[in-house]
Amino acid sequence: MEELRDFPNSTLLSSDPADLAFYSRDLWPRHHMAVRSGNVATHAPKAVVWPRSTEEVARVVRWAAERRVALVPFGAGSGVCAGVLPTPQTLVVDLKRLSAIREIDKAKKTVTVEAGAMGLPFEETLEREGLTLGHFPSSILCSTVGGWVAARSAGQASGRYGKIEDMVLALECVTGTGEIVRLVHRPYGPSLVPAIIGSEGTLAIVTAAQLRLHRAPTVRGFASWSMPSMREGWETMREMFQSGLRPAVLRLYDPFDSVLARSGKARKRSGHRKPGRGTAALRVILKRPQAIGDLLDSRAANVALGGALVVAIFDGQDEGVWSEVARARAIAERTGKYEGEGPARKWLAHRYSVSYRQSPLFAQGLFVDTMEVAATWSRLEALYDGVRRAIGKRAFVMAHMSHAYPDGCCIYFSFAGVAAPGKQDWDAECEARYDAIWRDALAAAVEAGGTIAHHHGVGRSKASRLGDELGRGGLEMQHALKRAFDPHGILNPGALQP
Amino acid sequence: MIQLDHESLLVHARGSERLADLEIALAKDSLTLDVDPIPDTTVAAWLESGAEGARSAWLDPADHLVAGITTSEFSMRPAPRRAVGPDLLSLVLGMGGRFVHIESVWLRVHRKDAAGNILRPAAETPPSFGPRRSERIVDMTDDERRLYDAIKTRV
Repeated sequence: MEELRDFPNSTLLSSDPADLAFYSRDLWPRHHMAVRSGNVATHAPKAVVWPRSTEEVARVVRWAAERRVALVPFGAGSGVCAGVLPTPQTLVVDLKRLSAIREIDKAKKTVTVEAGAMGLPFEETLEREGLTLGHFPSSILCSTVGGWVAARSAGQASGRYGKIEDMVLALECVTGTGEIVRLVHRPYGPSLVPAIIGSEGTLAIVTAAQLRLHRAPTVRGFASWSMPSMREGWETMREMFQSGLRPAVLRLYDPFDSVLARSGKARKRSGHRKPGRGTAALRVILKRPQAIGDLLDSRAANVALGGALVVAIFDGQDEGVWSEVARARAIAERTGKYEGEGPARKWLAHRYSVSYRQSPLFAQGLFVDTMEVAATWSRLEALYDGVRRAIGKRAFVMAHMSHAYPDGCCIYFSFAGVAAPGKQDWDAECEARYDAIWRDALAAAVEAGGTIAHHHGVGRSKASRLGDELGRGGLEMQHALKRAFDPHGILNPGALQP
Repeated sequence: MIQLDHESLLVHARGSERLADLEIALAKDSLTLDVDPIPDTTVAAWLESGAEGARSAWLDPADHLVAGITTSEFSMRPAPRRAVGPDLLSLVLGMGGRFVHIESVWLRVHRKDAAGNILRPAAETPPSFGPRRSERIVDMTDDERRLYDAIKTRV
């Protein structure tokens, strides 16, 4: 690594143990388990570099290519699928110093932004100009534009603005040979932009993106409905999208998840929390997840919990929003009961809170994780039932439908588990249970005809099932792309590899 | 022979199917591709030449034209969206059959009573993009040409 020290002063290189520990992982929950059991920084890299320009990124890549040193691009580290898993030979390339907004073109409604720009400050800058990207992932507080592109991210307002792949007009990237290339998106081709989006840093390091913008909404309509069952709930969502409605936000929560959505608050506590009676009760519940799941599936429990909940938010600039709300109400109230604006407004106020409920549970020796899969409407029920059954054998599972389209929907499963009875913390047995949950859940998703990832990507945690998704031919095409963009195989090796 | 997924509003058609024949078959179920004008060509040739006449993907970002595909080299099951690595459709759409040939495809269809019925466009169309896909294959940049050549030698 000595050669890198000859780089211009503007490039910062560190092999400080504290830096290496920080960059040794992303937010894959299995990493949390390792840390809880005392295995901190088991995947520490050799060094971390913070380039400040695309040219510096290119110089780092050329240096690495000549020496066959593996590079791991790093945004804010909020990935949950082990897309970041360095080795002692790896150089982590943190792009957060490449964070400038190069140009906002208000007339053309485009922005060119560097990959390391953090999500929320970026969006706030746009909103001060009366504009919005329309991309609001729940990780917006701890993710970057480059990370969104790398993982094929989805935001909460995907119904109106699409996923990140619908927002990228052009990309500036550095390939595995250190070449700087600019790629233009043309929706029906030819375009290599869709090949880079979702490639998880394995084909090129994205250094900047030109993104389309929209006028920030000035009128916003809210509505929510309770539904007798999930089935009626997703039929309502399907009918809305297939009739041409495009709510920015349209989400369906199962009865248990609805209780949390209706409560909608993240507790404001600081400092270390000791396990209390609530945690003790949760531990008891989690020892018999399947029985609890069956109980909650009963009609009586459904009624007691208030049924499933649909929340909708319509964005616009004019009174047209209200006619959309009226149309949505006409559809939803064929089977559902109108619950007013309250639950949707509450959801919006706490839209980023839920992700931060996980940490206290990990601190108390439980494990929590999420799985986002998708299917066409005709396969949705099989996907919902199959994955719930698979996870429910070993963990408590709940679900919500988070992103709808005219042809299908994403299901977002959340699950929580506990070590074997009597165990209060992580051990090999607990990890085995966690791995078994994922193995069975991915198998169930494939079996049901769903996709194994909707917006978290594959990383390493889902890679074993990539062949089921793409087939041998698809994997070979991905390898062909890899060899073309990164002939030396130095960019994030291991990710996206079954 | 076409296969309809009414619930998902998708049609599975062979690449050799003529687009006009497909539209006639769909009309029996009050469905349409919403392509204007319908070109005198096959489904495969239409997609490989850039899907002229398709509704612009910029106008309604939630709505994608192709949900699944089977090509000479690989197959992707229908799904509304996926995040499983590079989008292999980038080697198909508008590529003139340079890398793979389309054998069959799952295409989005619209109910005739709802086609073009989005109350307001879901998004503003960026300048230089019309409401319909109208350009044929456009000139690629030198970077893109070089990368496509590199991919071709490795497929």
